[in-house]
Amino acid sequence: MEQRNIHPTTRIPVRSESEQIRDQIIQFFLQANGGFVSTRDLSVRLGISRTAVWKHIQLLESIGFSFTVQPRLGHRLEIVPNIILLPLLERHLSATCQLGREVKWLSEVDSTNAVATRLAALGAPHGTVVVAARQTAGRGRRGRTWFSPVGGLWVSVLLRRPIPLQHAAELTLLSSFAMRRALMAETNLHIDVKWPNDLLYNGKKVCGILAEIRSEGESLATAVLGMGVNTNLLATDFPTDLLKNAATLSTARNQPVSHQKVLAQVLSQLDPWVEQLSTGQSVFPQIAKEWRQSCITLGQSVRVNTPAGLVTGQAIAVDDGGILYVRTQSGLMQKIHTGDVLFEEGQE
Amino acid sequence: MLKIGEIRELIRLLDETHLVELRIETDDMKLLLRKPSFAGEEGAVVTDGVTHAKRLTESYAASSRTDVFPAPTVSSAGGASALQDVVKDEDNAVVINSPMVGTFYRASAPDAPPFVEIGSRVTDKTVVCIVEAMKLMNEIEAEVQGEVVAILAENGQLVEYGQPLFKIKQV
Repeated sequence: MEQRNIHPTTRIPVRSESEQIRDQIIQFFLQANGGFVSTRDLSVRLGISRTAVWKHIQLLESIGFSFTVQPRLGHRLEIVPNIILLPLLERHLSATCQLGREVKWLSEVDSTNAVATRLAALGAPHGTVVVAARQTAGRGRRGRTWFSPVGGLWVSVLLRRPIPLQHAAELTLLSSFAMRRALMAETNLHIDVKWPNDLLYNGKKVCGILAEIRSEGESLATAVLGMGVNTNLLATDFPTDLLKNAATLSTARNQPVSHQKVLAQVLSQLDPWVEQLSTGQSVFPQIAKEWRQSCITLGQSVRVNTPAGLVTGQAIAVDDGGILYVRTQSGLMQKIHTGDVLFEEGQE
Repeated sequence: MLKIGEIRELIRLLDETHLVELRIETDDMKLLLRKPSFAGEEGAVVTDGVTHAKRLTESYAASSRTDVFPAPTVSSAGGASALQDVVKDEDNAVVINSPMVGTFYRASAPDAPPFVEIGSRVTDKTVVCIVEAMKLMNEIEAEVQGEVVAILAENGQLVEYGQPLFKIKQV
């Protein structure tokens, strides 16, 4: 068994031995660049039996890869599925990006945030990505569930950087902002931000972000950044109560969104921001101008559901710490740290 | 005028009763001792003309069995930051302070049971609450082994940096 794919800081590998071999096989096919790869060659280079190679190829076919087979020449990769596996993601990452260098892909899981948290406890490295084709108990804010059937991008990113807690809340603002840029570049659709970090297309939610962190003293120890994007769902997938306020990008665009490209762009964008935060510097002020321009909450009359009750008024400003200022009808300015800006129908 | 030892004795006696308030007035002094009647209200010791005794009784009250706590001593210096959110008091209890500004939650969801109650045993890794800022949920760990003896913030309340959240008696 080759050791080179095992991350040096991982005590228990994020991917099983079999998953690592699978990813090496994909890597060989990608390097062949549309050429044929013989199973004998793979067997020699990976140090496994030809039967084992065949089994892996069958497994790849079962998750959406497609090959043509030619006697004496071997297999040629024809179709790469729209899923996040390490070799498929890495080819789109910026060279310096430290995020996404370890990837756990699951066909079905309770919650990618839950898996990332468990992997963090087992010593998974900074930048580990957990992706699932479908979540059975996707997590939203405060115990809400996040509807996550096959077709969406359901991903969690593990961070291990000593970011001062006073700046940690920027992580969710920055992730959604990076996601907005990536989605707009990939789809050419206009995406808005709803304070603090929801992304909307045409007034309907297409992305939600939830970060779960553990701190040590006054710094971050681990953060699990959960992102859910309604990329390639069908409108008919949604239960009717969600359909009022949620949208899917593929319908708006009429063609599927590449999960690999979008996630790679998000990670490549986020990586230097995470590093800057961990040196104690704030990042949000640098992007605040563009953020405010993209924020549809600002200037609107809003109703914000906060833990202290409903706040109704005019959304006046978002400061450099991301805090929302709402002027109520009595003229009072309210600072809001936590809350849901309600959709017109009054539902979150 | 009462001597310091006598005031201390009065506090001890008051602590052993269900009385919440004791008022003594003489020609040369007034003394009011009050226990908190509900969580959150501070116990107060009011004296006239006996300032040194007031200081003493306050510090005594802070270490007694009443739910009164001294203000957290958060140093603004850069060093020893790991200690800033856990402040030890005299009876081997630690106060967990909020490491950030945010909304304090005692449970993972509105309909979920609280992470801990008074009397709950905790280890250093037990999550005792969540402090949220902008969908960033900070799961606060007890950081010490012991028993929760006081819960000092209200569910759903905005808590400030350094604000006391829990008191945990180490065992």
